[in-house]
Amino acid sequence: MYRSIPKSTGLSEHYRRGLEAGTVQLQSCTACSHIWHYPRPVCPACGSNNFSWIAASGSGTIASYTIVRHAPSAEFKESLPYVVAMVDLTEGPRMTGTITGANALESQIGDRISVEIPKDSSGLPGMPVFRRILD
Amino acid sequence: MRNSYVDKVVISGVGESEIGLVKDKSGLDLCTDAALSAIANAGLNVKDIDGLLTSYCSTEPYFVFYGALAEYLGLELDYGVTMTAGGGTAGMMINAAAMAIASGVANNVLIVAGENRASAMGSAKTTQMLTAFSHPLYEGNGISVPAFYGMAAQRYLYENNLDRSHLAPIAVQSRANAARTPNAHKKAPITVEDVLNSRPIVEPLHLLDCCLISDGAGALIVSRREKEKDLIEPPVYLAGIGEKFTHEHLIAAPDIVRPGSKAAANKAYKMAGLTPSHIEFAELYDCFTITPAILTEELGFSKEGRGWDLWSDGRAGIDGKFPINTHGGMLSHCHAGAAGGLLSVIECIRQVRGTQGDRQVPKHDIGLAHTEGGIMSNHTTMIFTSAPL
Repeated sequence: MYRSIPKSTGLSEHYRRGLEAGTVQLQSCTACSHIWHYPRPVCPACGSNNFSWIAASGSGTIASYTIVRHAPSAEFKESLPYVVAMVDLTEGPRMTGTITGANALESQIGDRISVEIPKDSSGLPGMPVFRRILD
Repeated sequence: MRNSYVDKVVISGVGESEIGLVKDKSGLDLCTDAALSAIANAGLNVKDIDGLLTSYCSTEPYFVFYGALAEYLGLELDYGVTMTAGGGTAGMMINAAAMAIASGVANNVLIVAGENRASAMGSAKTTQMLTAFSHPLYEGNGISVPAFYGMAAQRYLYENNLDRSHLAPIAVQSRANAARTPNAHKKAPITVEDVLNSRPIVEPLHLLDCCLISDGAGALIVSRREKEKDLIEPPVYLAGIGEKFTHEHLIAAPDIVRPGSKAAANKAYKMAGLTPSHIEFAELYDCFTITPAILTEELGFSKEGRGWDLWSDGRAGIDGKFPINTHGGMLSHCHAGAAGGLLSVIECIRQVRGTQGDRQVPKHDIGLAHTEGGIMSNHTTMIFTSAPL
C-alpha cells in the first residue's frame, strides 16, 4: 500500500526529506534524552524545546495490530484485507503504519519488524511500512 | 465542608429528539426538537435561556453552529460557543456550563448535540470522515478511528489473555437494555453468537462490536442552584466532575489501553467525596465494545483486566447488580455525532430522578456518566446525585 507524503513545512518537511534519504528521523531531547515521533517542537516528556535529529535504526516490535476487513474509503477496497499496526521502535517511540509482505495477515503482538520506506517510480518516498522479521 | 463550583448548579431539564432513521428532519431540526423538549422539561421559557453550548453538527453547513441554533430558537445570549472535542464534547460542555453559571456569566445554559448522520451521511461517508482522525502525514494510509480501537482491543485481549467472545456480552446486554427504552434506535434482541458471527470490520472488532450510525439529538439544561425549587421534575445535582486530555493521536498516548480516564474519574470522585463503591449505576461511552470494558477498570468498578466480566449473567442489566448503559448506549440506543455521549448523560439524569417506571434502576441516588472523544483522547467523568452532597 504505497501512499505518497506531500511536501510539507518545518519539522514535517525535515521528516519527509529524511524519508527521501532513506531514514526515519526521530527527535532526541537535549535536556532529558527522551526520543519521540512524530515531529513536534517540544519534548513530550520534559517540555524542553532543545532537540537533535537522529535516524531510527529501523527495527522494532509490534505493540498492537488490526486486520482491516472493511475499507474506510473506496480507495482502499482493493487492498482488503490489510494489516495496520503500531510498532515500538528500538529507540522507544511508537509509530503507526501498514504491515507489508506475504505473511502480514499472520502478524502477532511482539513480532519483530523492520521499517521500509517505499518509493514511487520518480523516487519520491511514501509512508513507511513494516515488514515482519521471521526467524 | 466541600466548596466547589458544582455546588452552584442544578440539572434542570433534559430532552431528546426522535431517534433512529428520521428522514424528514435536518440536523438543525433534530437539535431544535431536543432543545425545546429540554426547555419544557425544565419548566422554562425559551427566553430564560441565556447560555448555549452546542457540539459540531457534521450534517449542517454552519461554521458557527451554536449561532445558527440560537438564532433559530430566538435566543439572545450572554454566553455561547460551539465546542468540538469529538464524542467527549458532551461532558466538556457540562463542565463549561457549570463553570459559566458558577462564575456568574449565565443562569440557564442549554447544551445541545445532534445531527442526522444516518440519513444525511450514511455508513460510507461517516466511515470516510473517521479517517480524518489519523495524522495525514504520519498515519494516513488506510487507517481510521475503528482501526485504532481495533488495535486497542487487540492489545487489551492480548494483555489479559482473553478473546473477542469476552467482549460480546457487552453488545448483547446493551441491546437488551435498549429494548426497554422507548426511543432507542435498535431494539431487536441479539445473542453472543450473533455478535461473534457478524462480519469483521477491524479485527478483533466485528460489526456488532461497533456503535450505530443514527439520526438524533439530545439537550440538557444546567441552571443556577436556586432554580431547584421551581422545577417540574426532581432536581439532579452535579456532585463531581473531572476532565483529562492526554493525546490526539494514539501513538502519542501514554498507553494504548490505559488512557486519561482514570485521572478524570479520580478528580470527579475527589470533588464529590465519593469512591467507586458508592456509584449505583453507570452510563459509559461505548463507541465499541472494548471502550466500556476498559472504562469499568479505569473508573474503579473492576480489577484491571476483568472489566468485561461486569456484563456476565445480566449484571449490567437495568435490574442487575450494577446497571450499565441502561438505555442501550451508542451500541443500541443512538450514535449521532456528539449526541451519543450527551444522551448517555441524559439517561443518567433520568435514572437519578427515579422517574423511569418499569425501566427504572432500583438504586438511583448516585449515578456516573463518562464521555470520551478522539481515540480515548479526552475524558470527562460526571457524578450525579438525587440530593446535594
